Amino acid sequence: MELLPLGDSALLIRYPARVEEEMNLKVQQAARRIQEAGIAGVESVFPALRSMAVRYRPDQISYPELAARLRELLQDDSSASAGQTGREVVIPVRYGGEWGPDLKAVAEEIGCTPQEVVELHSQARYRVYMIGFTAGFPYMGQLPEPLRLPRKAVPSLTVAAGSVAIVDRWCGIYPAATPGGWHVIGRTELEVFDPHRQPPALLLAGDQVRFEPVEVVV
Amino acid sequence: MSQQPSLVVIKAGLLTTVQDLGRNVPHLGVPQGGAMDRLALRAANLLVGNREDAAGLEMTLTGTTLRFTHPTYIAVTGGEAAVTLDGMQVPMWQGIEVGPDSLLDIGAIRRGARVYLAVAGGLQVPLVMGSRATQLSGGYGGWQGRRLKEGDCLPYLQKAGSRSPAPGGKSLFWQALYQADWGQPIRVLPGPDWEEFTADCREQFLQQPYQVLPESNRMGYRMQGPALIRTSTEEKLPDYTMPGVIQVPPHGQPLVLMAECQVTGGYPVLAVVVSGDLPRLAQVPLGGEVRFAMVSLAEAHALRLAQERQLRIWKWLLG
Repeated sequence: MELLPLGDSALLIRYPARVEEEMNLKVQQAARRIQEAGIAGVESVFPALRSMAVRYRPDQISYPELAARLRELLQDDSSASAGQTGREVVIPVRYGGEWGPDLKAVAEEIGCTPQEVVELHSQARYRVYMIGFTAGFPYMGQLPEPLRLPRKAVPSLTVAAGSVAIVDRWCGIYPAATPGGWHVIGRTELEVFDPHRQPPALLLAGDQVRFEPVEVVV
Repeated sequence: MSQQPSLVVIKAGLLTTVQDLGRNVPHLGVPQGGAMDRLALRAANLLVGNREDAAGLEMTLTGTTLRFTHPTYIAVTGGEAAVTLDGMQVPMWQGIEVGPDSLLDIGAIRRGARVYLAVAGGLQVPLVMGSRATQLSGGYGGWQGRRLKEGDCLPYLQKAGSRSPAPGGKSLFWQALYQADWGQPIRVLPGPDWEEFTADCREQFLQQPYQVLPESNRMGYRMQGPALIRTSTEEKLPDYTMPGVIQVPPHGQPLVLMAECQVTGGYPVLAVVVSGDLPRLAQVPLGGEVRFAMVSLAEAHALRLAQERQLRIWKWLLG
């Protein structure tokens, strides 16, 4: 693990390469510990895939002071045994057809039936590794090995809000209609992000997620 | 005269939005947003006796024409523009008393890129996730989540309770202090991926000018200059980003993330603009040239602390 400055008002904590389940869990547990420590001058803590950013006010805490305090908190790994973080969330999904325009292509590319793609996807259990890209967008891992594909060669100009999409080892849900390069296999009617709702985001880093097929069009 | 004091938009200008100092909920994936030039907005607020984070207007390149229905106090800061109140020229960087049914005209920005208007008590738009800032890409916050247009009526507070602005005469001195570094190189710190770029490229980056391309916006400044080549082709995992981060996409031209940038990004980070110079960068207009200079973390902190001290002094003088 290394601590390094990201500009003059953030500190980046980087964990060793490769995102593994255990590494991301460590990041999230450490992020929680840092948040709970309530260090004066710390503005926010952002757990990422295998790193964490701590924003601070340089007029309230110096970098060496902050780094020393964080090292102390990071050493205390005892609560690593505290296990999973977050809530359990079930996401109902309609797979294929207009909801999942890429389901057939994904099945063809990996050499199975669309139904099998749905089974592979919905039988797996996911954890939200990070919220990023756009407001409320969850990076959920990890996709079962056979479903892992690179980004689409030609990104879609518009991906509908609620689209459940996959790429590499990740599954995500598009909170709003945007262009996107992930393979869209289904859609949920749940609102993933609403700035005026409390809480605004359906999912937070650390949540446990399961997908429930409510309809499959193959 | 209507009951609720309102700021009526007569001419909206190119891009005028309600901004404060932004949001602090990165864990929701929500961009920080807020004023591009935080220093100018904070100063404008102090000049009318507001909290530094009260909501005001950010105008871009062109000015605006506004009508105030009720008496209040205002201040205009940031880039340089001709400001008139009911046809009479008024100074920037000074609290100004506004009578009922007054017309404020802010002309085209002659120097800099953004002008800020603070109104006593702050603009009374709803809080969304702790801030009144307009988030253009998400379509929320500020006034109906969008840039202002002709006919919009933004509520502000009755004059009661707000005090008269501090006596004038310091406005030129303050403006000079604020502009002291304009034209100087933008100071940066090495980013987490600095070492991944060739030595030659790193040198070029710190020696040659980069131009702000027209497709720049509140999310980021696209720059053009000597290409920046990485020694590695390894793809990066998406990681935390924030305003000031200089990302380098595969084409090699840097992208400086600004106020409304996303909270994560997947491009290598060459360098990071120091927080004290972000307001100055926000005042570089499209087509403008920027040079970058490397400083130490201690120098960056000294700069930021000096700015915070300056604001405290102003606050004290105005208090």
